[in-house]
Amino acid sequence: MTRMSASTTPKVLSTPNQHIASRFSFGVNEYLISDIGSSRSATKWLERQFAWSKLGDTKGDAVINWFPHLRDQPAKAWTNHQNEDHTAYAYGRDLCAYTLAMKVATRRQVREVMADVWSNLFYIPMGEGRSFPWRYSFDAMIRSRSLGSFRSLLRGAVLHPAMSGWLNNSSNTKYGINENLGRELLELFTVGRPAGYDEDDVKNSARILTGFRVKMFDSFAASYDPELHYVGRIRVLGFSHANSSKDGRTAVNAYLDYLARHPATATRIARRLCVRFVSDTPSSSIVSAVAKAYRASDTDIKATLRALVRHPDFQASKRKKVRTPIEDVVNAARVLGLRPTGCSTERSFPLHLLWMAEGVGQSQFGWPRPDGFPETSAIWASPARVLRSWNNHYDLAGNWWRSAEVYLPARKDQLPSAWPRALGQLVEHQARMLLGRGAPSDLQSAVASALNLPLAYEFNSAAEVTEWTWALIRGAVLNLPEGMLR
Amino acid sequence: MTDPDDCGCGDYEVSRRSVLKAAGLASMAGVATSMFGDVMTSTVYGAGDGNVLVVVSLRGGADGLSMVVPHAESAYYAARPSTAVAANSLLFRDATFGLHPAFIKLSPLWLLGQMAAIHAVGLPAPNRSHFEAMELVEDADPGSAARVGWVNRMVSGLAASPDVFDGIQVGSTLTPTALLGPAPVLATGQFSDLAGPFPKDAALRSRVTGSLRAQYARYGGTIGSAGVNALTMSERAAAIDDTVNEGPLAGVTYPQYSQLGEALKTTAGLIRANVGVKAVAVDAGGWDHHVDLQWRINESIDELAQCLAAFYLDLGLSAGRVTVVTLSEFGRRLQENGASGVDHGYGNAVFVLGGGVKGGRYYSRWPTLSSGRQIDGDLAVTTDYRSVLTEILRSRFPSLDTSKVFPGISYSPLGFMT
Repeated sequence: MTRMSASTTPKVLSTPNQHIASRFSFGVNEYLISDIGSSRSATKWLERQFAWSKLGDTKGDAVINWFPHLRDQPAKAWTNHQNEDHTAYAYGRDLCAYTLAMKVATRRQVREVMADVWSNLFYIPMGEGRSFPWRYSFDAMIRSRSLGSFRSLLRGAVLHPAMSGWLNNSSNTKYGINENLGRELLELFTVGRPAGYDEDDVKNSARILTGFRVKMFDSFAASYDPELHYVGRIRVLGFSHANSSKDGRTAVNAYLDYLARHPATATRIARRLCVRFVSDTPSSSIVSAVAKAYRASDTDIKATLRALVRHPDFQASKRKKVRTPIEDVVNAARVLGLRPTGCSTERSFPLHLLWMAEGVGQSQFGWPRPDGFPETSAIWASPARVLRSWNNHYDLAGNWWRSAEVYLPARKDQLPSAWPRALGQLVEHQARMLLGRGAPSDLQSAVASALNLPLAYEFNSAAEVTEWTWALIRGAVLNLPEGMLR
Repeated sequence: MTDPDDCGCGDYEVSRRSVLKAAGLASMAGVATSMFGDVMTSTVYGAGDGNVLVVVSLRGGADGLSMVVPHAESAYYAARPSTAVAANSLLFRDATFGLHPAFIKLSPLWLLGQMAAIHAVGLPAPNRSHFEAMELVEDADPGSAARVGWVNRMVSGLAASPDVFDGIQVGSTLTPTALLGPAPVLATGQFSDLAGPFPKDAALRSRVTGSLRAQYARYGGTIGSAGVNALTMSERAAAIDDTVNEGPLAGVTYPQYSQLGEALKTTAGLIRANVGVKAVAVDAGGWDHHVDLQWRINESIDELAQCLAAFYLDLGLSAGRVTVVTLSEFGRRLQENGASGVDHGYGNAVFVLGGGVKGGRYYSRWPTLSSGRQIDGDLAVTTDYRSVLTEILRSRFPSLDTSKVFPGISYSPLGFMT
C-alpha cells in the first residue's frame, strides 16, 4: 500500500465513514483507512469485518504466542499458581496484556470491539481465584461468538466454568442453593430489574442452574453431576419447565433461550449497544429499532448492529462519546503507528499500555464487581482523568517511557515526502493523520506557542524535525478536546 | 447515569462558571505565584476550620448482622449454624447487641464515646440488586430525573460558588453517582500525579496549559469543563501534595497493602492541609460474602477497623471536625446459604464515628428477628438511611438546608448526634 502520510495533505475519510470507523474500531489508522478504501465505504467495510474468519490477520494471530501460559490446562494453571511458578495474578496480567495488544494489533477490529462489549457484559475480573484457570478459555469463547447470536453467547458465558467459579455456581447444589449466578443472570445478563421478577424467580433461577461442578482449588475439572441437580417444576417470569429429569441441561438450555429471546432482554441489550455506540442517553426510537431487529433475527448480533448503524441517530452522534482510558491509550498507539511485537519483559509495550490506562483509572479487567465498567462516558470525564490522559498522550507520542518490544515507524516514514514544509503544514498533516480531520485554528497556534516558533517556520527535511518537535506536535493534536472523543 | 451528552446543553451553567473562573485565573497569569496563593488562601479562609463528612462505602452489601450482632435473638443463631458469631466473643455487649470481635482496634473510639452503631437501617423498600441499590443509596433522590448525587447537592448547598476541591472521591478516578451533579467534583487516586504536562519546565508548562485552557473553554460541554477544571486542579494539587506527602503523622500505621488505608491516608493529609474540603467519598469493596462468610468478614472488618483507627490518629488536631459514616447498599440474608455464605438481604448496620457523635452505644428502632417482623426472611428496615445522613448533616452543617439534599423524606432522628 502507498504510504498515506507521504502526501502533504493526507486524505481523510468522509465524515460518515470516519464516524463508523471510529465507533467500530479502536483507532482509525492508515491500515484501516486503506481497508475501507478497498471496500469503498465504511458500511461495506463493516460487512467484511462481520465475516471476520475470511479476513487474514497475521499481526493479530501472532499475539497469543507471546503469552504461552494463557493456553495452560486449568489443572496446570492451578499447580503453577500453588508453586508460585506463575500465580493467578500473573495469569491475569497476561490476559490483560494480551487483550490490549490484540486491540492495537488485530485487523479484525469489529470483532475485537464486540469482544470488548461482551466481556464487559459477562464480566469476570482478572486474576480472580475461582476463575483464573479458565479465564482465557472464557475469553476465547467470547471472541469466537461475539458476532454470532446472543443466544449462543449467553449459553457459552453462563455455563462456562470460569463464570461458574466467579459467581459461585460451582457451589450451588440442590442441598444448598447459592443465588449469586441465578440472580445476576436475570439482573445483569438478560431481562434486567424492570422485567419485574421477584425473589421466588431468583431462587428458581438458581435452582435450575444446579449440577454444574468445578473441582475448585484442585484440578479445576469441570463436569455435570445430575445427583446435585434440583429436580422439580421451575417457574421464572413466563418460563415454566417440569425439570423432572436428573440431568437438567435440557431444561437449562430452554431457560437460557427463553431469557435470550425475552422482549426485556432485547430492549436491555439494544440499549446497552446504543449506549456504547451512539450516546449515553439514546432515544427510545433507536433503542426500539435495534431491539426490533434483535428479535426479528432471533438474537443475531450482526443484524442488530446493522439496525443500529442504519438509524439516523447513529450518524447524529459524532464525537459525543468520551473515550475510556483504555480506548484512549489504544487509540493513541494505533494512530501514532506504535505496534506491540512481543511481551517478554517488564518494559514491553503491552504492559506499558496497561499501566498507562491504569494510571488514568481504568485497568483492563480491573473492575471489581460483576456489572462491568460503566458504558456511559460522562463518568470518564473527571478532571483528574483528563489531566492524566494529556500526560499519556505526550508519553506515547515521544515514546518517553522507552518501551521495549514495540514497532516504531521511522520519523521520515511518517512525514510528507515533499520538503520544505512550514510548521503550520506539519500541524495540518498530523491533525489529518491522527484525528482524521483538518486542524482547528487554535491547534495551530497552540503548537507554535509550545515550540516557540512561528507557524511559517520552515523545515527543510525530515531530519530537521527533531524527536522533541515531533512529540510536541503529536501530543498537542491528541490533547485537543476533539482528540478525547470518539 | 448523568447528563452524558457532550453537547454541553445540560451543564451550561457549570461550563460558564468554570470558564469565568478560568478566565479570572488567566488574566492574572503574569503573577502566577500570587494568583496561585490567592486561590489557596481564599479556600483556607472559606473553610479551613469547617466540618468534613467522610462517607466510606462498604461496597458489595456488608453483613450488618455479623458486624453488630443481635446476640439475644435465638433466630439469628438458628439461621446461621456455621456462620454465627458467638455471643461470648462479642465486644461491648448490651442487652440486644454486640460488636464483632474484629472491631477491637476501634475500642478506644468506642470507649471515648466517639463511635456509634445504628441498626436496621436501609432503603425504604427492599432492593437486593447490588447495582440498583447502590445507585439509590448514593443518589438518594429516587424518582428524580435529574440524577444529581446527594453529596453534590450538599456541596452546592454549602457554597455559593462550589469549588472543584469541595467534593472529592479518593481511591478511584471514576466519578461515583453520589458526586455527580452540577458542582464540579474531582475523582483521584492520589495527588502526586495531578501535575499537568511539563511540570518541571515552567515556561513550556505555562504556554502548553494556556493553550489547553483556551481550547477546552472553546469546546465546552462535559469534556470542555473537565479540561478547564483539570488545569485549575493541577495548579493547586502540587501544593496539596506537599502536605499529603508529609503524612502519616508520626506513630500512625495503616495496614500494609490496604487500598482503603491508602485512600484514608491521602484523605487525612488532604483534610490536614486545610484546602476547604467538605465531603470525601471513600470506596471499600470486598463485602459481597456469598461464600465463607466467617473468615472473610473477619478479615474485612479487621481491615476496616485498623484503617479507621489509624485515620483518626492521623487526623491529629483536625479529628474533631471530621465525621465518618459507613454505608452499604443492603444487608445480607438472615439464613446462611449452602456455601457458608449469605446472599443479598435487606436491613443493615451503619457506623458513625468522630466529630459530634454521641457514641459508645447502639441506636435502633429494633424490629427484632421474630418471623412476623422479618421482610421476606430478612431483617426489616426501621430507619431510612437518608434520615441517618440528615441527622449528621443537621448537626455538622447547620447552615445547610437538608430538605434540598434529601427531598421528601420523613425525618425521624435517633439522637446519636450532639
